[in-house]
Amino acid sequence: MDKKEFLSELEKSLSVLQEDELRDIVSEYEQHIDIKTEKGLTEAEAIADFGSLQELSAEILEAYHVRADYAAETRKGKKRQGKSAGQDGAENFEKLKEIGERGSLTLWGGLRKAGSWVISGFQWGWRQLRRPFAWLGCLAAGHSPWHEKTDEAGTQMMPASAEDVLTPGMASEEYEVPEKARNSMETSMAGAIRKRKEDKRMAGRDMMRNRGRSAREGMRVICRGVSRIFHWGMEAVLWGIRLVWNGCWAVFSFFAGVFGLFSLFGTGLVAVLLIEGYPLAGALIGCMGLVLCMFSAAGLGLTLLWSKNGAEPVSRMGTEERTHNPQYNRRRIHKPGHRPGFEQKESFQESKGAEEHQRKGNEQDA
Amino acid sequence: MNAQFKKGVLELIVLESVQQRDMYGYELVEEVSKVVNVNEGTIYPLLKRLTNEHYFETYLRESTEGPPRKYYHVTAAGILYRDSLEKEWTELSERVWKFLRQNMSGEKD
Repeated sequence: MDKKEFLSELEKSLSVLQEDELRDIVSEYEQHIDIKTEKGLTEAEAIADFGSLQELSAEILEAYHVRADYAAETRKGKKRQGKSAGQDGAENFEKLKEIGERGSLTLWGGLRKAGSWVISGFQWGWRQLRRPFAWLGCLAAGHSPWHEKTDEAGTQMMPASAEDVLTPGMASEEYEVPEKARNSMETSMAGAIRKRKEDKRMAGRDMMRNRGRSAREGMRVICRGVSRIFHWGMEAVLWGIRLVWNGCWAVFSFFAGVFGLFSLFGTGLVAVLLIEGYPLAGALIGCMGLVLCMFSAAGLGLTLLWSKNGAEPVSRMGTEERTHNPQYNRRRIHKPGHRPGFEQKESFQESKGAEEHQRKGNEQDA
Repeated sequence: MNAQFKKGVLELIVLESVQQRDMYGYELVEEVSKVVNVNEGTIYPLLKRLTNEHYFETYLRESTEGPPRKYYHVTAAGILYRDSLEKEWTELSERVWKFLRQNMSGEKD
């Protein structure tokens, strides 16, 4: 080991000390080696007299009340830090990348789950909202279990006993008649009683049926009214949501379009300056990108406009789509029985018929 | 010589040497080496410790043989510390010597 090497090793091992102290110690050892070499010893011999470098540095550090093992740990830490500066950067980047990928996957999965929960929640809520109205509708249509009960009740309310129908005294024995006539009379009486009983029963059933029918009718009207009110309410809510949604997107599209136009103007300005020799190539590319972005954003906003019934806006439909679109046709057809595309033909036929009729009249007159 | 003995007595030898006259590092190493055979490297940490504890003060003096040398000068605190060390050493050596002499006489009896 030569002097330089020894001094650099010593400096490293005492790096925990302050700079001026370190320089002082190193200069002292350097002077010692120089004196020894002047006296005829070699540098290696002079250094060998100091003994082990580790022991020497430990003793020096002890003089400063510094733990020698702490210095060693510090050196190790510094080495580790040096390594981390060079190599740990890539490892950290890989770790961060992995964490990012995991996080994005987890986030995406969570969003999907949350979305499905929200949709199923809305569906459930919609079903619950519709249930009572559907039930009322069924009731109004006469498919309810109440119908049978009412009918049975009606039947029970009918007069059940034959004695109620019989006239008092009619079955008494004071009135004497021949046996044959009596038998036929009894038969006819029994038939008449049965018939009257049947008639009464039928009359009661009809009355109950009429009552049930009128009740059902009333219920149907009520249900229809309630469902209509609910339908109108839902329509109004949807209309409000659609208005807000469309308003937001329209405003967004408008401002994006205006900003796009300004960007286009700026692009032209920068292009002129670039032609004149100014170093504005980067700015020009940026402006062009901005123009594209703004017009794309405006287009996106217009695309997201919510037309009625979720259909595509008619203005953006082709001729074929318009012809087959019931919504468009419904808008155009106002009168029942009106056929689109036949107006000219019909008017032409009408005028043609009138002309013919007039011609025939003229011929007859002649 | 036993390293522990040397370590204990080295401070006293250095203080006594510097009290006689101001010395620079290499000179002091040579002076101490006349008394005890020590590793040359150990003298410098000792000098540094004694300087840090204000028993020594240093100054630079020009040399005809090379760069200026750092000389060590004992302070008043250093002198007091040297006296206390001498007293301790004397007491210890006397006791040890007395003990050894008693044992030796006992063995003879």
